[in-house]
Amino acid sequence: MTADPAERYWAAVSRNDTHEARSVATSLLREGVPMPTVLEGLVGAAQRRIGELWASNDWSVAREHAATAVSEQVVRSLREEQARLAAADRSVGADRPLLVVCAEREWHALPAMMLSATLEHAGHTVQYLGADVSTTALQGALLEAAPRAALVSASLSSSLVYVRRHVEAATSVAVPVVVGGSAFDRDGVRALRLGATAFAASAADLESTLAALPTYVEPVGPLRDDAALEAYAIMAELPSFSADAVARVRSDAAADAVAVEAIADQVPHVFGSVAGALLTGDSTIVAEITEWLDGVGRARAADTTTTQAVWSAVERQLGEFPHALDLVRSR
Amino acid sequence: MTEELRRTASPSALLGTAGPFGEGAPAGSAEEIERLHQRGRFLDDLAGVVSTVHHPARAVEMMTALLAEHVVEFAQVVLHTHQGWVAAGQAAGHRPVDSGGYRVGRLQAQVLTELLSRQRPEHWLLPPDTPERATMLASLFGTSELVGQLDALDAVGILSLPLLARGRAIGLVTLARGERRDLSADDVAFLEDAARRMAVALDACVVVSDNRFVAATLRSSLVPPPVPTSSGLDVASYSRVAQEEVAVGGDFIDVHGPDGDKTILLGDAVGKGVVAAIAAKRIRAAVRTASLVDRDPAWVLGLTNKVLVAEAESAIESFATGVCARARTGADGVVALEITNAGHPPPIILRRDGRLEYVESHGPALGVFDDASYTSTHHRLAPGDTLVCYTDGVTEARGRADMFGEDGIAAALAGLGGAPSSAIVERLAMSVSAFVGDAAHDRDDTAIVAVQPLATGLA
Ligand code: B12
Repeated sequence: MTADPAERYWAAVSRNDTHEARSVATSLLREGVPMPTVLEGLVGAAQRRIGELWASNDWSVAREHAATAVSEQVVRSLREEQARLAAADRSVGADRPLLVVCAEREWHALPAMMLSATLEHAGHTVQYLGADVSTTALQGALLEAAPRAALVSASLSSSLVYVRRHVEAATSVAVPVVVGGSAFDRDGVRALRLGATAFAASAADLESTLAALPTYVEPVGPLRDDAALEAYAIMAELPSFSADAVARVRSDAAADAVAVEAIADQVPHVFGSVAGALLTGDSTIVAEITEWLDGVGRARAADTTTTQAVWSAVERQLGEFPHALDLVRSR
Repeated sequence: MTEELRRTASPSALLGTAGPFGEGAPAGSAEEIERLHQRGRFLDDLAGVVSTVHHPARAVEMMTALLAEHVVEFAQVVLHTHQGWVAAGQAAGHRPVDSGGYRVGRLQAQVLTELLSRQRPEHWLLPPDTPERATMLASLFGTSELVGQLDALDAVGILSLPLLARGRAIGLVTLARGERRDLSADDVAFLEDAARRMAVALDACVVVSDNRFVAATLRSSLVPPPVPTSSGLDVASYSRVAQEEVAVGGDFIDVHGPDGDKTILLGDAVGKGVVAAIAAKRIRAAVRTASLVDRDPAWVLGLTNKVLVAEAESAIESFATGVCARARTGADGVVALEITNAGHPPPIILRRDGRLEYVESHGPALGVFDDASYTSTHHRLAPGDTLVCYTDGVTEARGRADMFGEDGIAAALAGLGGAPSSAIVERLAMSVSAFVGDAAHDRDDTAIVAVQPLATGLA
């Protein structure tokens, strides 16, 4: 019972035991372990492990989702616990809040939640809006909270197009935007191309970024270059492109039905990532998604014809988009 | 001391100290050209602020900064709103004193209010080290560090201009030059014009912010209060409104009652937006009131129905559907459910082993028939079992060719038996969202609530 906290945490998460997971984490916090260490050592480690178990086909998506929900509950409790501790020492200022949001259609809420907890630990006031924040909801919050900055989190390369919308929305009311999450490259090239005011590779790097932020920024207008227009058109057609492509994959692929479904499930994400690559002019996005798809296939004992089927189905749909075709063909 | 200060601090006591405005720099001089250039920059930037910034506090800060950067050495803008005073001040070479830290004090507010009521420009000459100066600066700038900054600037002439919009003074802009220079008549004419533009923009900001405030207040009254863990239940919910611009809708969720005996309500009032939200609020209130008398959900919805029918001007206006469940936690951790359905899509029980059971308990919709009566069905939730209620925004979500439907729900919940409530709610919400795609225009209000016995370890 006195096992390593990280192992006890993992054991609790993997059997959906919110109660135990919470008590492991909050007792570390109460013992004085700093918030970022608790987050990284327990939650981050568990989440990466969950990702590996899904990728290796050991866990279903449902199981991944359930375990992540446990981590979310834990981070929620940690934030509450921290707020209680902070309220006791009364040192927190009535600063303008930092607004933390996920891109629209981005359901990976935990990274943004962990970020919020880290920022609160550093003494910032945070307003956290959660997963899948629409541009309209963002606009409303910008008007109501008048934040110092909007922090937009994206885990999926297929969310990059939506990140751009948030950048446009926030800067249109002069609010600076910082972006981050696993959708971005370490050097911040994608962030720069999306017009973000700043990028931070990690929550730890964020502090210096925040200190250097301007108070007001110029509006970032809509993108009108050919590649961007293709990206928007692809997103507009996403449901029908995906449905058609999935149907082709199902009929062309030779692997067993479960594996085909797992791979076909990625199709909307593939289209979205191509759009993200178009918008940022970063072809490594397509290379990454290729590798990821191959990995998903391999773990499910699907031969390469199945992932090949995905790419040819995707190419078929992209016939009218020369820039997109270029990206996909030269991957 | 406060009495004393208030009396002498009255601006009227100090009126008449103003002298004539000074001469401007000679036409064509380098100084004059630079000044005109700065004014041009100011007007450009002001136009930018006016079109981008819609939050009163931010607008006040930005305007203050622009004035202090381009036009004068010192500026303060104060705005009176329903939520109180918003103020910012800035002296050249100093950090702005922004609305985050600037609180208008009581005495200062009295003086500002009096100045507002005059609705006209005021001009004071306040020589250094005079008691009048100290009193006047304290009246205009309170105890903020701005007073010291003004002294350091060696500013003598102070101009205050009302911000007039729609015939009312909504705020005040106060300006000064450094090094004992006074504002010229030409400066004043320019600043009066600038104040007019600022006033119109700030007035619009206040209107926007008042509207947001109303919507936010309404919305927060519609969000279910968090359920304490001591209640023995793990509850998670999701809601998304169709009309995001107004941020409220007709779907409603509420959880209340003593620990171990909770009422869970989820429903859908006819329509969208604010009108629907008001109807929803009324239903929630009726259910809460009825529950105080008897927690039996069939009786609660029966009484709620009577209230709605009696109060409604027309049946169209009061029509609503809903599910009301009473959840009592037993000593063994098993939750006994009584569920009443008023014309609403059937709730689902997701068993720990993944089986789905539709709760077939049906009654008429609310707000239509005066004599409607309701019954309830009884169920048990063992640890790991989950009750899922949702509105038709889930089942009737429109995809490319068809609706999400009960098949969509079954697919989304597959494999989630025994998962925490929040995973179930999230997965369902995510699936609906992916199914609908970007066709947000024909989205309906959507609400989901999931309830299960609080897990204390299901090893
Ligand atoms: C759990 C999980 C899910 C859950 C999410 C549930 C939930 N409520 O969050 C579910 C099952 C729903 C899911 C779904 C999908 N997922 Co997923 N998921 C994960 C997983 C395993 C963990 C995510 C997590 O919780 N991370 C928590 C921490 C560890 O994240 P982090 O990125 O390190 O966050 C830190 C920093 O990035 C930073 N940060 C984050 N945001 C920001 C913002 C700013 C401004 C700053 C400064 C910093 C910052 O601070 C954070 C805290 O330190 C990851 C794999 C992984 N290793 O991360 C995949 C992963 C994110 N998923 C992935 C994919 C592809 C998907 C799906 C498309 C799969 C599918 N076809 O169904 C869907 C898409 C769903 C959607 N539309 O959002 C890919 C994304 C690849 C890519 N870059 O595009 C990943 C990376 C897996 C992989 N190895 O490829 N997923």
